Amino acid sequence: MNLEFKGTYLIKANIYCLTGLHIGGSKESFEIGGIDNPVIKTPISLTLPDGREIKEGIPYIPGSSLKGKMRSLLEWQYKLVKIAKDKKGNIKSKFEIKDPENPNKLNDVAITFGVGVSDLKEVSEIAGPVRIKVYDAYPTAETIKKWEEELGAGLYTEVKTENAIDRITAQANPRQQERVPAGSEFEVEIGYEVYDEEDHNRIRIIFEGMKRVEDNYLGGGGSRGNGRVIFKDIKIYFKDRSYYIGQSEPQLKGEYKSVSEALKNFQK
Amino acid sequence: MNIYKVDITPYSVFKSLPSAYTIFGAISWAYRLLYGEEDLIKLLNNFEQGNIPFLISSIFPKQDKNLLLPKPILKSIRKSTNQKIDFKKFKRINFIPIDLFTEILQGKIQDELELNLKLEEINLSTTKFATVDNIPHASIDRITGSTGEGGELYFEEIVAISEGYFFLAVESQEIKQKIESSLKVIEDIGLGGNRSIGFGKVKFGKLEEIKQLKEYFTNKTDRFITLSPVIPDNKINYKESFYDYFTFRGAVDNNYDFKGMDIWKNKVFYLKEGSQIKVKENSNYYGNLIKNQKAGKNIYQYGLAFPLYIQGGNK
Repeated sequence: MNLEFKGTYLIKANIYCLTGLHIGGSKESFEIGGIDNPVIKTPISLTLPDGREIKEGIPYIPGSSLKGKMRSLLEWQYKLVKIAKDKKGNIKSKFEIKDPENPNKLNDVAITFGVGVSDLKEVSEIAGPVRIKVYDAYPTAETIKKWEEELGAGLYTEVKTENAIDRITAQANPRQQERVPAGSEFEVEIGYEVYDEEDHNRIRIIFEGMKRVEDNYLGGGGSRGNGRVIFKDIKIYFKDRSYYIGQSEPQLKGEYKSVSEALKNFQK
Repeated sequence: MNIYKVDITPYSVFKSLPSAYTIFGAISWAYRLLYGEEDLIKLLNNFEQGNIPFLISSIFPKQDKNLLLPKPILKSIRKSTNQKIDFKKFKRINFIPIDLFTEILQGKIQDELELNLKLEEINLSTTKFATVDNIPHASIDRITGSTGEGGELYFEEIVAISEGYFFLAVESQEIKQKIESSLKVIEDIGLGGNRSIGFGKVKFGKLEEIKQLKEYFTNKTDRFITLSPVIPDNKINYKESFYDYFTFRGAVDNNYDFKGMDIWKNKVFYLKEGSQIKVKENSNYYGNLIKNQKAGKNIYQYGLAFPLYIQGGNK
């Protein structure tokens, strides 16, 4: 492939939790009275470029959660989910990498989000590098302050109790789930690499993915009200090749209050 | 060659602990994106011909503002001492302050016992540089849209590192500028694996010249401590070296030229950072940059020593 690196976009936005958010983490120890369903937390403390101190054990949104959800919803939106049966007769799903309108080409979801090694053999077109990089989203300074003031020092989550009711005896069987409380905000950063001219408009698909997430959910327990989020205060920067060799600065390409506003800038 | 320190601040986790060969690979790809394949081939040809354009060390931690270096592997000898030494505690120390490291380079500390006595004096706390963790991933089943029915929960081992730095020795001002630009690209494309889900996001500091180590880099003797993993070559006298080793099998970055291919590099044998190496003959570089052919293209495995020479040895 003849690579021509043209630069990178950086999309910055805040993700605001309208309801409690549960992105499952690992349970390291079985403490007596411990929560069965913890949320994912930072494994190490770090200081971000803007000076935010992120302590170890603070909830965050992994890049993989946001990228995976956006991709999954976009696959359905663009009719790229194919249902087939395997040799044993089990129903299996498959991601269609071809563009439904032009079968010789790869679709935008495949080019932007990447394709599996084995799938690429089906088309002659070269996908090029995966365009998207969804970074881990850490809470805003205001959110950390709010958690510490309202939940108590060292507490960043709420515990929601849910019940399973036995259909016959009506007996309740409670379970607990840890959630990031509603009203929390995280700073999202998405990188997007540009390798051909079409990529400048193809970035539209990321905003479509964000919009689909707003009308769906992020994390677990979405059908029970968890994980309803909106994106706000969106900024798009572009760093062209000259930035990397010290000849220019990142250019602010647009500032938008919402995803809908940002989407108006791209051709469909 | 001038030696520069490059601070590295990680903002996310890594798929595996980034080493000198990880940084070399990342710089090579970034260089390729900025300056094209032809320019990269020229650069790599220089390495092959022995005109080394740059050398990279592995990443080491900092304690506050103090630089730490890998604890060197010194000769282990038995001799009686009146002082009580907590050997177990020192076994757990992997990094030592740069000032103590330079005492070893000056030949003031020559064996393990002398180093332990010195460590007892300065009461150094153990620095935890890397934390290994397991994080859960949930794959969403396309049909049900759920991670429960048909979806899958699996765990992946990740590495989180604290703030650190690495050394870079460059042969010319032109190479220095090109590497600086390549590092800027790495800040935006990431370092190591799983980059599209945000792994390997880093920020590099400005290149700062380190004069404190320059004499140990340029005054060559027959004994040095390496700050990068070394693929052994025939210029090393193994009998008189003190080393630790590991084997490693890296993967080729298949995001660019090797799209759609799952290519593993050959398994290689490395001498660890901190190994003390005695050389048979003087050379302008030690270690190997292994070249293999895969999918019709050359693949390189970086294993050149970043040497700091112990003074007082034979020149």
